Amino acid sequence: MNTLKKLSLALTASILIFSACDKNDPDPTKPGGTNTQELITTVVLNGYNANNPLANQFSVRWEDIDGDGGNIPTIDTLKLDSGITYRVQVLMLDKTKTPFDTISNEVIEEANEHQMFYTLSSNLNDKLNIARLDIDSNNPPLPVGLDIRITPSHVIRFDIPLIGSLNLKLSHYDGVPKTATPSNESDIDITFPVSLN
Amino acid sequence: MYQSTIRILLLCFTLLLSSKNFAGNIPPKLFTVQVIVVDSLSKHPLEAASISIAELHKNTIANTNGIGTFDSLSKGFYTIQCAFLGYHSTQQKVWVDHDMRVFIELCPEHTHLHEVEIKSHSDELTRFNIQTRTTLDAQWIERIRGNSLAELLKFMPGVTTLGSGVAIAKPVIRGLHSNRLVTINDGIRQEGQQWGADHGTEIDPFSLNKIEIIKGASSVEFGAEAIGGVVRFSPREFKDTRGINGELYLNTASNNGLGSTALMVEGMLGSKHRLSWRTTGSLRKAGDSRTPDYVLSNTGYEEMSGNYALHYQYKNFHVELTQSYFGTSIGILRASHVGNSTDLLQVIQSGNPSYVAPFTYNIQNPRQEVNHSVSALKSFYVLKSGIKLQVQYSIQYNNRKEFDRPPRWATSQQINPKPQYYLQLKTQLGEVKVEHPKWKNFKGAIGLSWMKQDNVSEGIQPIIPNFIASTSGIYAIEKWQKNRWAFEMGLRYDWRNQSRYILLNKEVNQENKLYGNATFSVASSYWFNEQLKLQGAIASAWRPPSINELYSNGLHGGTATFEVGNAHLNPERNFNTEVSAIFTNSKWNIELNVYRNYIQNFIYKLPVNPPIVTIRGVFPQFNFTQNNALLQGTDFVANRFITKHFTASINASYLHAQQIDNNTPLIFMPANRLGLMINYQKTKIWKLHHVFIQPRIIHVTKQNRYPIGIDFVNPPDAYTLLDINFGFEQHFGKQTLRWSLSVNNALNSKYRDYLSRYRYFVLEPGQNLIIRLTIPFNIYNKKQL
Repeated sequence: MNTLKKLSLALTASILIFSACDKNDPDPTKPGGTNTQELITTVVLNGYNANNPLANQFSVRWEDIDGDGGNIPTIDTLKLDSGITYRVQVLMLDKTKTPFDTISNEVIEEANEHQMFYTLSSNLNDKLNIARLDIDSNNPPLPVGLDIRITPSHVIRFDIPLIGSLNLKLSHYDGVPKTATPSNESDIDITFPVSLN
Repeated sequence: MYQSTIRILLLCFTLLLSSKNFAGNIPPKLFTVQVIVVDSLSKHPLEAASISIAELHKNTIANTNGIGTFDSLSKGFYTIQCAFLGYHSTQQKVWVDHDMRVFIELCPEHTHLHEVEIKSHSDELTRFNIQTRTTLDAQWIERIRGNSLAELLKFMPGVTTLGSGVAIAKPVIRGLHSNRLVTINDGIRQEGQQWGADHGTEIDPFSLNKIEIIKGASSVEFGAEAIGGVVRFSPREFKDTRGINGELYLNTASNNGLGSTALMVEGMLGSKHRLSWRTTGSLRKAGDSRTPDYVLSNTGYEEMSGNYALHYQYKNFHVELTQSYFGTSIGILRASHVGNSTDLLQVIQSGNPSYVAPFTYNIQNPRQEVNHSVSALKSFYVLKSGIKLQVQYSIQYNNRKEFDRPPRWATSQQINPKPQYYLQLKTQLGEVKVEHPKWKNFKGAIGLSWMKQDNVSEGIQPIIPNFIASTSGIYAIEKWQKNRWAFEMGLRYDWRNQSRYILLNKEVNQENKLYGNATFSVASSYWFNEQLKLQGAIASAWRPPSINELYSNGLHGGTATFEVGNAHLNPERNFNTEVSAIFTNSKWNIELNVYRNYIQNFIYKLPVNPPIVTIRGVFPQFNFTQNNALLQGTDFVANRFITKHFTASINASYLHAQQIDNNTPLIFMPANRLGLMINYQKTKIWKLHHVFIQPRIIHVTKQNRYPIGIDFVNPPDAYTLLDINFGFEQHFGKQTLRWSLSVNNALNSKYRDYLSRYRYFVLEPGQNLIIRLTIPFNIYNKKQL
């Protein structure tokens, strides 16, 4: 009788417990596939001669298809001629999507919370001048920086190209007012090698 | 006042923990009480039985005549507790108003079965405290309860906390934390994603009645991984008289607008068939914390938890069923969300948070959402021979979602944010234990334990992979006690079989790891006389590398670092040696312990070059690697009972942690600290009962021992904090109200703590006034059985 009582009690209790864990527990042996995060995999600088859009066209890429870590990014060199004024448009893509997702369109939509900053290496600082042409709807308006003009300060012919770099930093003003200085949140922070002739 | 080079720091809590003596009014006369302990059957005196007065934290052992003497007791009620290996422990309340003798009869376990609570049952093997342990009891938990569970622990010597704001804090014992500690809640290993330094302990602070810190390797009983020690949380004991009663708790805090409430109801019915039950529910909600200078935006949190426990007893058969749920949503400091390491350095240089908004209760991304549920069935049965069989099974689910701030251009993420990662961990535990009753001078147990874990990781960027791990262990512990000597020896072996699953080129890739290793401990204690006890222990435990140390590969949010696991790590093994001296008399209670913990294959993060280049910028890369480490230190407490009402305490901990191979200090080790405390308490002042006031000063030195050039910033300066606790009871007829007030950081000091993950970005919170009210109530009560 006692044993019976004990048994029935234990049974009731265990039913209670097991009913509590009778969920559809996920199976660890079936790991999920790739995730649908909106990434930026690629930044493309599309440039041309500001005085003649059909001349001196180039397209240089900073690309990291597999995301953070893994394979190292592919980085093209930006080759510029000191006798030419360039107009450059920045394109940001997510190549993990089919078709490619053009992130720069979304940044332009959110222009009031974004700003691209351009920093040249010190050896190029006095030789190139970068002007941001596009502005947002803030009052007074602030630059967005996806459309720029690169103007050489003077024509210098180098025997060998001058090698420097150009840093692009896309600041995100998330809940903080957009100002003329970079924020603490960089959506993009990349550096292109620059070769100036 | 103190130099930052002071080596030994003094803290001041343990005394408080123990000196909960509110008894008696003043009469300056002091009394002597002799306690005589005898075997209830043979009436033979029991030499070396341990006798203590709970209220005074006084301990002694019985002499050859079974007599233990306490002198200089003031008039009042005391609880005399008595324990002896192979006997049921007992306690007796006595009213002391003259010199007196108290007879206590202990019943041998094998002849007489008492109604033993499951709780005390699990404690029996550890009653003879050879290991170094510190206990925080219900009364003090109630008096100092604040924001987080770990906050309760941080005034214990040798214990500090590792935190990310007020809501997330975890204990650090002698420099070790996370996976190097084992957390036991109500007899069950608490299993969550405890590897994460920013992952708190998912236990409701209102459900606890006792917290024990067991320092050093104690893993023979508790399983592998307890290289640093064990934190053991216990709920209230089951009610043992018929009736129904409960307590209502109301807490509020000024700094973050915390409001919290909990209700506990418990009851007992039946006599031959006894059914005890207890249930607790609690709610907590807090807004942003505040430093003296600014609001810590997005550091609010909310918690909801509930549990019930049933305990059935018929003669010597006990069964207990418990279920609990804990759910929380915690805001992560908005200013700690930075783009890359350049951004981080910029924030550090500016010295101010990059984002401050007005105070709010709203919690936004980044945030954590965690829930933890446990179901457990435990039972034990005592055979006529005195052998005790214990079986328990439990299942727990830990679900953790961490949300980051989505980029503005990620519109779908803005509308319906997906967690950065969503980790679902299921843990099943089974345990069988057989304890043998006292035989000659031996007592011991053997046991088997089994654990199975299933982890599924989802989300945008899961930080750890899916895995299944099963661990099996077998152990034996034997204790021997005679006269002034006690010995303890334990041996354990564990096997861990772990498989991780990832998707590689669209196919499931499985990697298996098998670990097996032994744990042992030897401890001994010797009473020189009734006041002085010396004890020592040598123990060795091991820990398999945790899942993140093996496989993590990705960005770590708040610290802008890229962490890369190493699948070839070996298990850690430690050799811990420690010696303690405990001295107690009517004026002093002094405890000194010295330890040396040598850890082979200590796993840590090593910065490597070159840093990781991503489209969002450059991040320093840290690879998990291993090296031999040595942690040595001292914990010290001294309590001076000045008068009946006044106690002064001093408390210090010192730690020296070094990597052996490259001879550099270990990073992120708690700074040395020292504390001073005065406790004044009186049974009645005017119409207030059980009044206490307790100012306490803590000085934390600057951590001068750190590897140069690894962290983004050097350890913060030393700081000193003043806390004041005050409380009393009000009696209205039969109704009691218990009030307690605390002012933490009373001087509103500006400081940063080396073990706070927010120290790069912001100051620690400023002054905080906490008011707590406890209302005990009776629904009905029968006279004691």
